[in-house]
Amino acid sequence: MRITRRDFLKGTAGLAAVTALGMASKGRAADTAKVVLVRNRDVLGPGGEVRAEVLRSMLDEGVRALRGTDTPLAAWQSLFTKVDTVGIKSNSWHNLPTPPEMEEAIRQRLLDIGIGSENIAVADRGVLDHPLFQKATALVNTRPVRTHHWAGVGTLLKNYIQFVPQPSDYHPNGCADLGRIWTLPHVKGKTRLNVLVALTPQFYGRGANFFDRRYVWPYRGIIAGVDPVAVDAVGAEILRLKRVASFGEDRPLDVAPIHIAEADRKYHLGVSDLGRIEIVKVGWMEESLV
Amino acid sequence: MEGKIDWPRDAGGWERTGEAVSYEGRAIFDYMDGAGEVYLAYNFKNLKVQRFERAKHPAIIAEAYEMDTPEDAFGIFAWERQDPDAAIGQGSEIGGGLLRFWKGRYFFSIYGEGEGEEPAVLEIGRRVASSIAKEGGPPSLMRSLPEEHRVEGSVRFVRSHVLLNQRCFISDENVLGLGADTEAVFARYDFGKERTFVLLVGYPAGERARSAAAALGKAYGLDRAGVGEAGVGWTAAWVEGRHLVVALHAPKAEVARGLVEATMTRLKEEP
Repeated sequence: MRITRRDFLKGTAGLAAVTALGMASKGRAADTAKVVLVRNRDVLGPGGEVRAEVLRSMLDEGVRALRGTDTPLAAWQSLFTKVDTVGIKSNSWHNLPTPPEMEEAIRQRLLDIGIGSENIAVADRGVLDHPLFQKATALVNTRPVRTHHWAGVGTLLKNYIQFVPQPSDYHPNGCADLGRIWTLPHVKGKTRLNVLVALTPQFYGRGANFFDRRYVWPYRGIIAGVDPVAVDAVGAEILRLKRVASFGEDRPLDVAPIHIAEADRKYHLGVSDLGRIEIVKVGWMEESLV
Repeated sequence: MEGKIDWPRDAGGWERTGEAVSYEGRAIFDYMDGAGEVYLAYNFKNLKVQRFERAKHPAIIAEAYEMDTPEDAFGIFAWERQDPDAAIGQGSEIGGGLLRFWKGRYFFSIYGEGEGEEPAVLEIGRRVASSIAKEGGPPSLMRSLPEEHRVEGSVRFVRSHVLLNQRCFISDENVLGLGADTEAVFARYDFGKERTFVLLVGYPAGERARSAAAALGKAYGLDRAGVGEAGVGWTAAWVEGRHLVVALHAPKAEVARGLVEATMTRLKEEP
């Protein structure tokens, strides 16, 4: 009979969050990972509206810095070829969706490198049965970062839950096994780029109705990387540091985001240890937290 | 008002728009994705979503959840409770523009998407609550939880081991055999820095309670008296009829035993 969740039995949920993100891994996918944090003070207008042209330039700068190329186009060309069929996995949760401006910015860059519009699709629900996603040769994964009732943090890893027929199968034990989805044949090895949107993240919330505007703040950033685990680890850390800044402590979430470390330790999908993640910072960094 | 919600026509300048959209059973996932699993864990039956609108203002979204029993309605309310009381229904809270309350077999969530909508949200809540004639009680097992050292507002009711684990971790596996036909109440107790819990589970029959106690005893390495040290602190687990009483994470063995004894005494005193 198993009793795990050792972090809980140690008696400190705060420790659980640290453990979830800082775990040293065995059999890991890589020794280090590179993540690009891009922030721009002007990406949000006075009413909170997303300025498409600013967001597009942030994405360009992020991908360029990630790939170390001279131009954004060259960076995109290093990730995709014009014969690719690309599914852009978005997130449509109505309270905090992937901004349409981000979806369009990604789509436009894929068009710019010569991929036909008929070979690009954007979707969230229904991707499992989506004709283009079924034949996709490449995926782009993009969603906002926020706290989440079942998974602790709504991450890029979590964003692929729509690729399984019964998402609730992954809810037990804090969604620890979300990484398994990334090993399924229709997903495995296809994700070329991950973009975690942190324009207005939600850093705290309890329960199933987990949107709470008291805990949303204009961070005005995006986090990009090839390694989804590393990008998620940085995103979760930003939320944790915001809780500490706001509450004076890392107030426990419904569950700790243990799925990030599990994706590293168990499924070897990337690097969760913040000490082994290089964060390249681009743009405005006031109160960046990391 | 069984099955039909008597929404007000208007409130504070916001007007009811269109018919409420209804979601039966597992169709709740069409409305809220994975969060629906929490409601299903409380014997959810039906959700009705009504929208209220006002020109040049964000909308107010009102949700009425019909549960199988008043205990379930209380359960889903108490599960997420964190904000000040709003004095609506049989239990309520308001914070961040969100009003939550329960009455009878119904749980309500009314959310104003913009700033300054709280008066209208509260008015909708008061009026819809007053239209529900039939009240119901929270789980009677709650009365058996000891009051001394109990952390105020920490009492919860669950039927799902997954939800139980989120607040009071027992095991990755469902060693207690929780399900739709069981009732579990628990509360947190303050003995210094430890996070001590008392958990009381009601089963349909004593055999299930004894089986759960055996499984827990094996998992936690409890002795023949049902006491042992596992992880942080001491655990004690005893069976009384069709009930299992567990004290977890107690700082001393005698504290764990004392909490279980106090719970069993109160349990026997209940009619």
